[in-house]
Amino acid sequence: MNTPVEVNQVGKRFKRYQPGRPRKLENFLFQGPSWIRPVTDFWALREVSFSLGGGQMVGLIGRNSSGKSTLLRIIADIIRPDEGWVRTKGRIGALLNLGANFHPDLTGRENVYISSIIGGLDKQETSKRFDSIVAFAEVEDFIDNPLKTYSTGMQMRLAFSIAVHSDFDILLVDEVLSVGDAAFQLRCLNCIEQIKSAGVSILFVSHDTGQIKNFCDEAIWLRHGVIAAIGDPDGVVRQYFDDMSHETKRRSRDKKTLSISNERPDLKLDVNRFGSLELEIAGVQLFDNSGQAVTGIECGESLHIAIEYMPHMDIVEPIFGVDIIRDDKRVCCNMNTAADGQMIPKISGPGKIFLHFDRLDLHGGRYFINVGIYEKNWTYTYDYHKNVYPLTISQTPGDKRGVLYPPHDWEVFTV
Amino acid sequence: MSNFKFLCNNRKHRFYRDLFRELVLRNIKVRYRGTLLGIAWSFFYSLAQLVVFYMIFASSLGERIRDYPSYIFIGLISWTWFTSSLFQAVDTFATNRELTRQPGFPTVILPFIIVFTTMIDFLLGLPLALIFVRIGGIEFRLVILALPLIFAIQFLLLLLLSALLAAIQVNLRDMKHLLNIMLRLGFFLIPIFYEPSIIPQKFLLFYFLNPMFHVIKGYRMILLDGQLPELLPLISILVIVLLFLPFTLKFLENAKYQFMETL
Repeated sequence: MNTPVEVNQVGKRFKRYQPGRPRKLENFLFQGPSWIRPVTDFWALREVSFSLGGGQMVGLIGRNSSGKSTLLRIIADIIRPDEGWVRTKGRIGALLNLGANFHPDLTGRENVYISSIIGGLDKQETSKRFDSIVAFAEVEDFIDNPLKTYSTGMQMRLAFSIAVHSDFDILLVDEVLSVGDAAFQLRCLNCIEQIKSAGVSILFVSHDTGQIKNFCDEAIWLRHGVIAAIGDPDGVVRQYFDDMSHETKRRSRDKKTLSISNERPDLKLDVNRFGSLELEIAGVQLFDNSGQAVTGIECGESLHIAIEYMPHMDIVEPIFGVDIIRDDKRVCCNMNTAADGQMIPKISGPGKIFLHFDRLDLHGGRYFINVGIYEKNWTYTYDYHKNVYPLTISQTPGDKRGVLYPPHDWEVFTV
Repeated sequence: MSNFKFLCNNRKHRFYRDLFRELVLRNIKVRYRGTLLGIAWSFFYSLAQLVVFYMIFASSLGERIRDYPSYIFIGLISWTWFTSSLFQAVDTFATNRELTRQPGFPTVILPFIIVFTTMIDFLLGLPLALIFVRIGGIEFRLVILALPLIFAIQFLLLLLLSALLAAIQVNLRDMKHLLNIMLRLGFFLIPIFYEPSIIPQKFLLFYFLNPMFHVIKGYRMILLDGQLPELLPLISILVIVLLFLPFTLKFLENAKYQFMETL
């Protein structure tokens, strides 16, 4: 079988240096030679095995410092493994720190030549591809200006264009697609798709699990340097997220009084409720325009959602989020205070937050209001209630393929 | 770089040749881009030093030396090539971090690039040295054809030392400072602006063990004395360098992996 990349039982050990690295005369004098002092090792990677077929795209996910970049660097032969081996067939291209070899004083043209050649092309090949590189980056008019006059976006486009115009059989992509505007990201992804269909094997590191699910044939989840899951991207991503919420749970769960859980028997932790519960959702109520508590409204009516919260410690700038999910799991509406620019000050006592919809033009059907409170950087969840609060929109004409049923009119002309 | 053409029998060699050329060109372009005098600056450094030493020592040390300005200038350009190579070499990995992170980048090309880039200053100084020699009233003899031999020996010697220093610096950060001191001392310990004959007999052995002593002496014998230099020390240097070069380049390759880990 054609396997451009084979990784077999790879392990990489790093030394953990004491602060103020050793190998200094003063350390030697006061602490003895380094072979007497204990040097702690840690394994950045351990027993990692997988293979990458021709034209296959594998996504690599994992939290920071889980060994993703180390693995890429071992495959690229930038560092060597301490255990196991890696076998690669063909040339390796890389989308790692793009534009690192640019020089600001040289012109775009000079930089294209140098970077392309550093990337593995010879001069003749670069000349042939030059126009295409410049066209893709859309910098034709500036190509003879010094690079320091380029905007960051132009530099990134040029760097990306150079990198993908190189020749390779294996492509390593590390987090580069998180730069640039949405349009450029999309073009990058399309470009990677094309490369893939040309038969290049791609190893793709991304924190965007959506990209992994959409583009990769397989996903690998690295946890503490070990493969925690490998296989179908959807499954691996789900396992990865489950693990993250476990992480959330481990945080100080036991100390908390689960006051609300006791009051509401329908709320079960890890079933329809997730989070550290440092800040609890104490209750969610839906109101119509007259202030009446409701569980259903007519299409086009206004809706007011009241979220009561109850902190168990001081919480700084939490994020409140509300999703409206249809019963076939379709997300119809997804909003949060951070995205809407609504800053929540420090919370130290119980309170209420309202979300007002002037009108809700959803198609008739059954929905759930899912409510969550998150840490200010989205690193974990304080409390999330899933499929607990139902909302019924009364029947509207037509079937459920559409989400919206806004007010409308038909106007017919006959000639 | 036409002398590298014979290497271009396949794609990989063509790539190495182009990579080498572009990186050397980049170094030179970057150094003088935007300056008014451009590459002419490389003359002025050596000329300024020449003027200083000539003014100070012409009446003392220079009295016994025939054509003292040429004598100093030849020593200076050769020594400048030596020091600027080694100063750059010791920082090779730090300055070329991004290059060595590129998959498939040949690390061993780095010392070649350094020695070659710094060589260009030397090559530009050489015609100037020849002019000085002519003005000094010395005729060129056929022996000038032996100049490339000394030149090649210095090139290979620098290659070896550059690779060695770059590799050592990865694990021993003191190397840079040590080198700095050694090169400062070296300037005075090598007969650059004085004559070897004033060296006391008991120290002569140390001088004799220094390869740069023979290299500089070689240039002078050819250009100023019109004689073939003593071949035994030069050939010995050549043999030793060629013997150790492959190991040193391998050592450099290993140092790259260590450097990438200790980032």
